Amino acid sequence: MFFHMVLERNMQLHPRHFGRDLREKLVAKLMKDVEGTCSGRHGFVVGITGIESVGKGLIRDGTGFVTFPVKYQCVVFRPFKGEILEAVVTMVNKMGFFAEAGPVQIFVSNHLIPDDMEFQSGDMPNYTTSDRSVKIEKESEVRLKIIGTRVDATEIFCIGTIKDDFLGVLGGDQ
Amino acid sequence: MNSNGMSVEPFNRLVKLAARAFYDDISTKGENQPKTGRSDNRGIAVVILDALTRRQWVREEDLAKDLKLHSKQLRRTLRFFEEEKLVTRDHRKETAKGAKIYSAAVAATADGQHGREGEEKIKLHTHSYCCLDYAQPNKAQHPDSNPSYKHNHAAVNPTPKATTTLSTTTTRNPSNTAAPPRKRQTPSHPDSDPDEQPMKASRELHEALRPKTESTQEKNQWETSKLQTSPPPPTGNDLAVKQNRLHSRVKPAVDRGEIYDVVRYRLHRMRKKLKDELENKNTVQEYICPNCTKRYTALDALRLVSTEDEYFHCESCNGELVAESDKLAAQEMGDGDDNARRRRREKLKDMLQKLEEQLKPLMDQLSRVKDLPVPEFGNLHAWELRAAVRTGNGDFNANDASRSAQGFGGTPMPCVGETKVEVAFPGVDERGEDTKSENSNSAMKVLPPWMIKQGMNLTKEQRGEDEYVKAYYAAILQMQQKEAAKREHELSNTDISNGVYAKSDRQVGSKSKRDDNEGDEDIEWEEAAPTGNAGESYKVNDLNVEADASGDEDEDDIDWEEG
Repeated sequence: MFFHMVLERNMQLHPRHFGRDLREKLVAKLMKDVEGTCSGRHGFVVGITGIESVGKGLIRDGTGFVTFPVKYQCVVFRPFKGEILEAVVTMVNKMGFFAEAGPVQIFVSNHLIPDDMEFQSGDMPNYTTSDRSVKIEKESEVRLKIIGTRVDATEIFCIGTIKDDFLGVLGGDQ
Repeated sequence: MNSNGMSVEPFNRLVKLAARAFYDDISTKGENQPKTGRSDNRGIAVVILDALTRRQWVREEDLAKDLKLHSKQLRRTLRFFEEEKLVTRDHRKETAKGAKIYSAAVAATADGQHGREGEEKIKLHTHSYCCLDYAQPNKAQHPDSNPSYKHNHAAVNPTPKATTTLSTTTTRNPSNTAAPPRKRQTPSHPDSDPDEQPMKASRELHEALRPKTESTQEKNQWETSKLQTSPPPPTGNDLAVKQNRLHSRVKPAVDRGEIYDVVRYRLHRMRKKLKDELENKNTVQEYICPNCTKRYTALDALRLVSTEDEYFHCESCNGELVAESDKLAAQEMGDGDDNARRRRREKLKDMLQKLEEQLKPLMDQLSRVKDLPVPEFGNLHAWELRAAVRTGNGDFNANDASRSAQGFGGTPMPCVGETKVEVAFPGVDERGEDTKSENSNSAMKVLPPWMIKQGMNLTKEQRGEDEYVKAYYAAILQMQQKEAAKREHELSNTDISNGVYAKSDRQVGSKSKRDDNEGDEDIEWEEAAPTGNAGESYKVNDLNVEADASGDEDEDDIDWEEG
């Protein structure tokens, strides 16, 4: 699920950036630092949409670096249990398959793949129905439901299922 | 009396059934103890639970003696049951005198015990106690709706059991050779239960399920972290260390209402586990390393995936992981991938059916018990008080009525006399009694009880706001003066008032040494009471002192006890 929220971060800026475009430098550095990161609390920071405020800088003793408290608006993505996501399959193996929905990795184990789909090993390992009408392989797009998430401080990993109504490969046969 | 017995009997039966179904195979060992065949004490748990059904509150040492168990072993098992929420324990400091009285009470209860076994007995023990936790009215009636309870429960399961690998539902996997040959000590309880046998399979199922619940629990911890329960309440043992001459005692008691919920919850979990697996619904797949028996869940998948082949590999030994649910139901069919899942389904269905029919007696008992009033022993103190009152009065019928109203089952104490003293012992009362006994000859009632209470408040408020307290005491003093004056006028009986003064003098005398430390406060009182006569101001001081002294009670108790 996506959220638009205000976060705060203390940015350290090198003295060489001090000048007319200090603020621009600050924002550029913030984007570079924050976008694409993942915090267990908020999820993945997808993008910064605006700067709320830049506080007073504090010169660090000894280094000359200045710390600015910056409040910024951003879009975060946080997967939840029970959420339905569309994802791209990245790897298929005997144990199930891995998929990615944006930054988040999802594993679907083979017992959460419908019973009529069977694993076919080979050059392109895949899960296929007996009538070969549906095939899950690398680069397939699937709709899945998240049934569990594992959230670490800097990482979110999910497990999903496609064994439910309206879940599975998108776009029918390929 | 019989009706009392009846009300408890179904619960006892429930406990016994549950013991055989779920706790038959619990062995409690210290972590450092080697698992040799000799120290195998599986089955003891059943014996202990059975023994507890025949008791109410019981001192742990006595229970150990009765069962000819080492008290350490018993305590370990009891702690386990406490965590399982089956048993309530109470830890209490007691004096040597209390122990003496207790042993008298033991002698008294022992007689009755031989007479009618299988019925609830009142025990007047004052040491380490346990009691079946039949009723905890404050707790949620439906454990399913109480997630914290749920998790606590799941977390309770012992980890070493993780090695349970079942080849079928009913036989143990021979690969499990590290464990000693299964030597179940047949519970030596007098009434062996016919339901015992058919339960074994389901118990094993239950056991096989156990570690799964646990690790899922762990993995989902972050989600439920706010629901996590606080650690189990601290035992009184740490207290014991501090009190040099007081012993801390633990008293377990079986908690029957609680048991009802615990058993129901356990059944629910078992059934849910199977059904979930049957429908493959929202189950987090688990993987186990056959070499080092390390367990993983699908949530670890990212770390486990290997570059060389399409299997998951153990992090520590690089062994190939096996999906755990396959283990549970479809091991004997090998890892055949195609039909395995279908066959597993059948197996699971079979298992679920077995579970239903094997645990039928237990479920029947649950439904039987459902509407019955839950026998509640209350906490140890209350229970003791009741028991003491019963024996003290010697009026069994009156007390039985009250008891049965609360749903107790029990026989009257066979011995009446000795336990009379008992009431005074728990903590605070003791001191009160001692002071009273000092001047029990004089007219004790002159000091009205509300004054004592106010005296207690007094110290509390004193710490806070001085101005208010001063005014407060001035008011009290005035009132007392008025009262005293009135008394003198009306009664004109010097004896009584003399009695009052004499008594308060004595009390002050006994405590004024400690009072010296707080000289300023005394002065304040004097200021507040400029016109008060000696007797009155003493009274106030006395109140003050009494309240202050309450903090030091324990030491006082000891001194008086020993002296």
